Amino acid sequence: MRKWVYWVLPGILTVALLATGYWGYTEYYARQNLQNRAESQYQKSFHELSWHIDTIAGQLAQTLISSSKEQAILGLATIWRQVFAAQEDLGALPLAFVPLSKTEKFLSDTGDVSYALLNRTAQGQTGLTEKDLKTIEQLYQRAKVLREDLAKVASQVLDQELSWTQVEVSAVQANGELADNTIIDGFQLMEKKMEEYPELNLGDDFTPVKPDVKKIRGNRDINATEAQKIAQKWWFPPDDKHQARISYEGVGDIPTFGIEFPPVENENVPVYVDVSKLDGTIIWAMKPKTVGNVTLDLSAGERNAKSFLQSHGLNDMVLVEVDQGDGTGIYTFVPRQGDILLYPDQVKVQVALDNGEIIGYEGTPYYMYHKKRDLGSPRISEAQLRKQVSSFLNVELIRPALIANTWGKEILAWEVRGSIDTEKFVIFYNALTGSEESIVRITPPPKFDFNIEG
Amino acid sequence: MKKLFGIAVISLTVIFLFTAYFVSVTQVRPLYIGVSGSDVRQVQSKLKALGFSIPAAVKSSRGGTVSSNDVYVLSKIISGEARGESFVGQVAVGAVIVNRVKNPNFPNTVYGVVFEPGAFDAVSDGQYYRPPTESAVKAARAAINGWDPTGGALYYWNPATATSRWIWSRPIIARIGRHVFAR
Repeated sequence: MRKWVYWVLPGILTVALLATGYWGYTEYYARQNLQNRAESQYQKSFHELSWHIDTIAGQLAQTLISSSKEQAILGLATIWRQVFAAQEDLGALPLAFVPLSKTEKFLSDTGDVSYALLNRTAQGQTGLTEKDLKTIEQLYQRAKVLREDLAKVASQVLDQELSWTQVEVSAVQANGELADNTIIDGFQLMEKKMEEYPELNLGDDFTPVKPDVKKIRGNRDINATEAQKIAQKWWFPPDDKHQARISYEGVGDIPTFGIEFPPVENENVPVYVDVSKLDGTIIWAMKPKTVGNVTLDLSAGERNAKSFLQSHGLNDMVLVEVDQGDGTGIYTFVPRQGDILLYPDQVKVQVALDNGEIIGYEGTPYYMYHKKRDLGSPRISEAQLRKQVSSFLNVELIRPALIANTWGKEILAWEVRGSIDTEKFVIFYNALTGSEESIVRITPPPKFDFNIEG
Repeated sequence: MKKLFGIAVISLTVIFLFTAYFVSVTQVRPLYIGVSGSDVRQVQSKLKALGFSIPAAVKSSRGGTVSSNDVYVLSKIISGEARGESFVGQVAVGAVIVNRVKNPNFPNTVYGVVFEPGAFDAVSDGQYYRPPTESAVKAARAAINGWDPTGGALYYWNPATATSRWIWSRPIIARIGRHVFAR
């Protein structure tokens, strides 16, 4: 009678074991499935990368031997496109811990140069110059090395069934060193070869122009106490009792003292002011606050922003852009020299649209670049320009402006703002040659709602 | 005595089976306060069935509006990476991502930088897939608009938990909150 009890227990346990086993197996299978999917994504990115690099090397050589303008344009366009794709693929591989800055720099240089040459060749009368060809030759030499090394890694990956998910999982060992992995080694070897090449000599056109902050801003260092006083005077009324303290020191592009004030009334986030060590200029400031119901429109905010700038000695600033969100408006202003707008020297002011309070200021570009320049005057007249502008563009305004290109070189330009259908654009024409320097889309991005954690 | 033992074993087995099933349905993703969806409701009802009392709503969120995907993605990564940092520390983390987007050695979009495999812990461990905090949204907007407390940093790490030795060789340019920032 009681004998059956002895069978029930093992029976149930057996069923339990089987169920667990089944569950474990499906879990394992699902995990394996996911891993295979990740692996195949990586494999695709990697083999595409190696193919793009091969094409880049081939197209650079082809551009070198081409003798017609049309072929040069085709070659440069292909290179530009392939560079973009190669960058995408490199970004999709789990190599964040492997230093590859020279390889990446090579790709971006190749992309920038091909794009610039493409632009110039397409707009100009002649094909590539002797100087251009020399630049392309240098790029080709490097592309050749990349191609060979990547091909080596690719054949190892294929032949030895190397796994990219393995790279992802074990790239960094417990001691913080990079793991001993054939794929990682291959990429490191390639990077080393890139390092051995001398710095690319791309000529004046493609060499970044660095601002000389010391020349513009003088050499007088201030100390921490002075910085605190300056910050206090700049942000708060003279009789204010807020106690400042140094929150951090920055030694980056602009050495600064980060000054922190305790939160203002009814707020819980401190006020920050960043003061340059060089001459005590306010680089940026923020007074985060909870914004209540919006009662002001953007133009009321603009008036507040403008008078704020004036009270801090920034007169004659022109509003060029507004970004609205979170119950605040962020206004971008640029200074003028004569009637020429100086785009490189912009400042931003953030205004809370509940009571019009200024809650942020960002003046890094103004600090780094603003000076009196020798600008000259446009060689193309406004009347000439009007004839040149596309008839599809519904022109809203034309004004002279100074802009900076990809390499920071400043260009005197005509700024044309206008729209087609619902799209808004700013087009900059070189004021000396009349060529289209750049077209910038300024259509506001679509707004959407989302949840926040609270 | 033997009967009691038998009952104990049976009930343990039943609990074991139930747990196995429970684990298998909730395996799909980690759940946090603020997450919602059918799996949350499933967990809630199961907890209830097991006799646990649960707060009226695990989900509690307010809304916001942004005018760009970039700000949203940035606010989510700031939330995941710099929760608990001061506001300026959150802007700093956002600024590093913006600096990377502008730097030729990194992908050219906010998404590209954020989803670079292995680049951010918050993406690897799933913290990214939570709604952003309000202060992270503000910080993201400031960072996109050029506020940069780091002065041009491209890397940051928490000295207490950083795993990669290589990263320490980068020149440190600022220390804000728990993070060091480097070029």
